[in-house]
Amino acid sequence: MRNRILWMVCLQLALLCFLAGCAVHEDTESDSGGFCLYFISSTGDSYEKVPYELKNKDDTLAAVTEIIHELSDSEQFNTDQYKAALQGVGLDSVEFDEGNVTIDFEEGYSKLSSLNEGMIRTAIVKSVLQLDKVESVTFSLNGASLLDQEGAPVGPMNDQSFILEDDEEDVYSGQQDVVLYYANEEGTQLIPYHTKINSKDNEPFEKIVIESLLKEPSAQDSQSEEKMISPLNEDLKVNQTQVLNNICYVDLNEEIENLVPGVKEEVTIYAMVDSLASINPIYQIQFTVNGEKRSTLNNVKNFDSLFSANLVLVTKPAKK
Amino acid sequence: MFMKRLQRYLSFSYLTGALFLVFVLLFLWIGFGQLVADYETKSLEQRSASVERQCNVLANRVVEGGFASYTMGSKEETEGSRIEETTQLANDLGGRVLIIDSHFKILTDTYNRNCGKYLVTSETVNALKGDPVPYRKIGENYIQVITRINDEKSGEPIGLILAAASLYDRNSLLGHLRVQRATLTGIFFLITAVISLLIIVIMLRNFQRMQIQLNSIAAGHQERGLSRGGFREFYRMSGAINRILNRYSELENSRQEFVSNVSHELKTPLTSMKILADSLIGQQGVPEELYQEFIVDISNETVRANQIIQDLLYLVKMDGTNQAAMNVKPTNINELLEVLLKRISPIAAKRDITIHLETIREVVAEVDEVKLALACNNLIENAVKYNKDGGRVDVSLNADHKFFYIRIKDTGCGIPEDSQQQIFERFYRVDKARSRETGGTGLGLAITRKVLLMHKGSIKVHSQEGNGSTFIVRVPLNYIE
Repeated sequence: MRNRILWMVCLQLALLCFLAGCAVHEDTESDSGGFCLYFISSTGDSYEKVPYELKNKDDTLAAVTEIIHELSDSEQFNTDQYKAALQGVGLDSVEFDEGNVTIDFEEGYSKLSSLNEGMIRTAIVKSVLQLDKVESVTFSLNGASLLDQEGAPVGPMNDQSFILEDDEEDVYSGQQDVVLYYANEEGTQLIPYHTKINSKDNEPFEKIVIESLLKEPSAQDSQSEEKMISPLNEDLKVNQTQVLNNICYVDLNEEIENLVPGVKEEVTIYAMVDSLASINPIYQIQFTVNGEKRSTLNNVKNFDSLFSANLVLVTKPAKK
Repeated sequence: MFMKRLQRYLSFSYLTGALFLVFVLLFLWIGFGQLVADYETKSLEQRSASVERQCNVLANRVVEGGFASYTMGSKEETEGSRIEETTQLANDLGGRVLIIDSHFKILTDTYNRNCGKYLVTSETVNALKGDPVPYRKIGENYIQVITRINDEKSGEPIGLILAAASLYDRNSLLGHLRVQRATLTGIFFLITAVISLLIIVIMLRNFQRMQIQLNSIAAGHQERGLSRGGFREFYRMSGAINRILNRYSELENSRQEFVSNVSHELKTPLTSMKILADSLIGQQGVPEELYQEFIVDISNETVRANQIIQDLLYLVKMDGTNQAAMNVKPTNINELLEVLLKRISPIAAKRDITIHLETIREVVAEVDEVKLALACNNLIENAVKYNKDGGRVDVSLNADHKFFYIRIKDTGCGIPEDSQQQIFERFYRVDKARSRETGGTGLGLAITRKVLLMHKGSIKVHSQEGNGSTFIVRVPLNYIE
């Protein structure tokens, strides 16, 4: 019996070591260099990142040329999983100036269909942007700026310009800088709190901002020496939000009618208003309760009017 | 009390039926659950189709007005003049709308987040190629529908509309349906559980009660019988058992009665014999004629006792006998009756009683000749014995295609109405006081009835006190096992 237990323990330890080893092995592999060339997958609708060891690591211009050359090499890189991104288009010249690489293509580029052009451009830019010194990439066509569908020049493209499938953020998620206004301990004033909010699954930022106000920031995150408390009723829910013409329409549930113990009515409302106004396109806020406008809410008059940011209630934050 | 009476009409089959019904409803609920699951997917399809219709309207507008009018975030004055339409659509869909050109550039984003960026995913690539891109859910609250903007002349895709539409209405309805389903589940299970428990408990209780009572009866307290109550099945069961018990107690009573009757009847001749013998023993110098007379009397009494015993034994033998002891063969009933009447005629003549036999037809039936003769003989003897002097006895024989009938009518003293059912009982005498005078054993009619029962026949009596009696005997022509 004892022998059996011992044997089982040893086996499990061995298994653990093996798995850990694998994990470590993976990490080191992705850390080393990590440079990948963006090839188009054989299905033609996504990218295959192929690890590649650059020969011209230090010389940016040479590196860019090398990248484009490799991406066009249909003989070497045509496989079952992916194929060469760029074919039949000649490279005119490459320039590098203050972080921006300008790649000039010859005539053949304009003959590419818009679909192919879009995909190829993405492949080249994403590959080139991995170089240390490169911050942006500009394309040109025989010396002239590359124009987009609407006839405007495309201009420099950077890391933010592309949303791909393997990115951590996709088109339905995002991050935004925001200032959240919490109530002070007495419930009489607002304390600002600078943070980023994350949205995923297409949740509107406005909704997330209000929902964030329900929870105080944790002690170590606090940017002020004063204690921050949530200005909102914990059962408050946002039914819907909408932003139109810089006005944010917020539909709340009936919990807004219940006063928050220890917090003034004004503080509750302007916490929401000021926090929302810190998001870019929003200037004014209109509230409704379960779809209906309320002219008075407890002591507050004109609850159905448009609210603008009011920083009177905001204390000057004492910097930590 | 009312509950008890109500229970009598309730059968377990009703409860089981109710339970069955609940199971049926349960299966219906499962079907309902399927509907809900079906709604989950169907509602998405429907929403997707509706969204696509609305996006197509916008797509046509874009083709007509040009991409420039729908470009957001541009500083050019000429651009973005029609952005209102896009935001209106986003408003109607309760979500977000993006317009993308053929180079993957996001021209419009009603969330105002990603304008100017390039969205290069397998969905946009395939959509711009012209391949179908199915809808997909974004989290739980939104559905993405991609609609192509096609060139008027060539029909080729020149842009895309990505719509993220709200699923709020559909989700709240789905939530509601799920709550309904859960509630129904709860209710059905509750009802089923309650009914099952009820059935089990009631049945157990009934069984237990019956068992206790049966135990007590088995122990010998059979006079108590079973209580009537509970559900129909138990009600009937206890009724049947009670009837069985009654039969046995009747049998017991009749046995006791029989034994007491026998000892009583036998005691009479034996007592007479003793008296006669004692008187002879006690005396001295009794004349020979007196001896003769007393001995004759004693002899008669022994004959009487013997007769009683013989009849009893005969009766007992028939009681315990099985059908194999029946010696059945085709017999001519006319001849049988003629023989009996001939035998009795001297005795009848002594009292001037006339006997008539009327045979309407010739009857041959499957009967046990000896037994049937005995049965008829008893009836004929009674007809003579209980007749008045100079009276008459009419015997008639008839038959149809199933039975034959013997009718024996006398002009005797008749039988009082309240005794007419009892005359077939053993040792029963209408007038107990005259028992000795009329003679016989008191078993005649009992034997007759027993014989007829063994033939699967019947006997009826019509009588009026003072006018006479008519006995009608019916026997099947063909013996039935």
